[in-house]
Amino acid sequence: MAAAASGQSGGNETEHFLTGLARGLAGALLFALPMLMTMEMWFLGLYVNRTRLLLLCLLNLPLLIMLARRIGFEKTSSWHQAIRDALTAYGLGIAVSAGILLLLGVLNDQLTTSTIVAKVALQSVPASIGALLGRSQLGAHSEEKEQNNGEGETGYLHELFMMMVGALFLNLNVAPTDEMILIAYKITPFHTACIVLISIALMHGFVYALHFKGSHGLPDGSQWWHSFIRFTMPGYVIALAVSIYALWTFERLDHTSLSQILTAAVILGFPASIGAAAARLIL
Amino acid sequence: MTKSVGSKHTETADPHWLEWLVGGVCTFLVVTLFVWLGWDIYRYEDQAAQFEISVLSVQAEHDNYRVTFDIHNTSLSTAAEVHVRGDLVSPDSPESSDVTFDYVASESHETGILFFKKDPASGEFNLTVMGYTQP
Repeated sequence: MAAAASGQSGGNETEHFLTGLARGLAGALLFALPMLMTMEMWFLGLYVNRTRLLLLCLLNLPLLIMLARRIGFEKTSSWHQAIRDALTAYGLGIAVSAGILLLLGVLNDQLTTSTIVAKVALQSVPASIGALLGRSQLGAHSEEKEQNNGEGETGYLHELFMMMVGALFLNLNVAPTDEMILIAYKITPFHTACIVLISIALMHGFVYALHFKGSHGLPDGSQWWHSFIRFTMPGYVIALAVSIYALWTFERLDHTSLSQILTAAVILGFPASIGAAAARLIL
Repeated sequence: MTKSVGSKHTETADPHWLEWLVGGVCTFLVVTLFVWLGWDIYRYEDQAAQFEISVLSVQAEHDNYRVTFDIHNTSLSTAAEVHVRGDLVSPDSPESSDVTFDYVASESHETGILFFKKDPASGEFNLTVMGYTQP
């Protein structure tokens, strides 16, 4: 009887894990497919600086681990499990990227192994984040979260980390495209300043004013600018910093003047800031 | 820190000093960004792109010469499809080579390479911007 119960429990665990994997796969597809079907991302594999690509892939690991620790590919209760989940998500990301690129016929037209590896490595970063987010947002975790009416606290650094993830995710979608740079070349400094103001206003409005599901409130007696200074301003700086990092990785800033760098960062910071704000609502 | 009860999230009324420090530093950075943009707005004028070209190096290869040059857009306007031609004027046989840059951003540099059969030092060598479009 006990053996039968143990066997059933083992079967449930395996089924649960496989369901988690399938959800991760679905998440990787959902979040990374736009990038997998973007021409600039294919070409980046041909010329992207390998040191910068390696740095991106290495930085993705702690990001995934921290993300897994927080939202989990499976229900994680320790760093050991978080590392396991992060590596599983990364592996899924690599598999999904290679598989889809092969399916689309943009992988087997390469002459060298180096360019094939670079193409897959580049795509695997957003795909692996998608795998973790997919598990969180499509799966049981979000259901549990919705059912959980208990009290909890979210640390300040954790809030900033989530904003960084949201900013990075939207950034990776658009940073490789030529349009980002083209817009930066076409607009005037006046337009750039307007985009900064709108980005900051949207960030604050998304989280505090529009009463979306998951939006944040202020404690009684607190002034609006308290949360503006403590959360929205750091969030916007994070969005800009992530934008500059993404543009640098994709070699969009080389030999460029500081004014052009800031303009490009503000352009990319526009979707990034919305991504950062949305992450505070969703994750 | 944020306190959550069910799906309701409320920022703490008694934040850690680190939150104010980070917020203060970030506000300073955003204000600095606005000052920089204000300076850019003040000095901005819709002007024609201006270029400075300088040869960085000439390298002899097994059957040609590789001329590496820098093009600097000194204006506040970005230029697209910047077409640069190199002419080697020599008494026996003149030679030319050209390259097109997708963009040369305002106040920015790009590097280009031209190939010649003969040594550019053997005659009069000129690099000229032939034309560009607005992005």
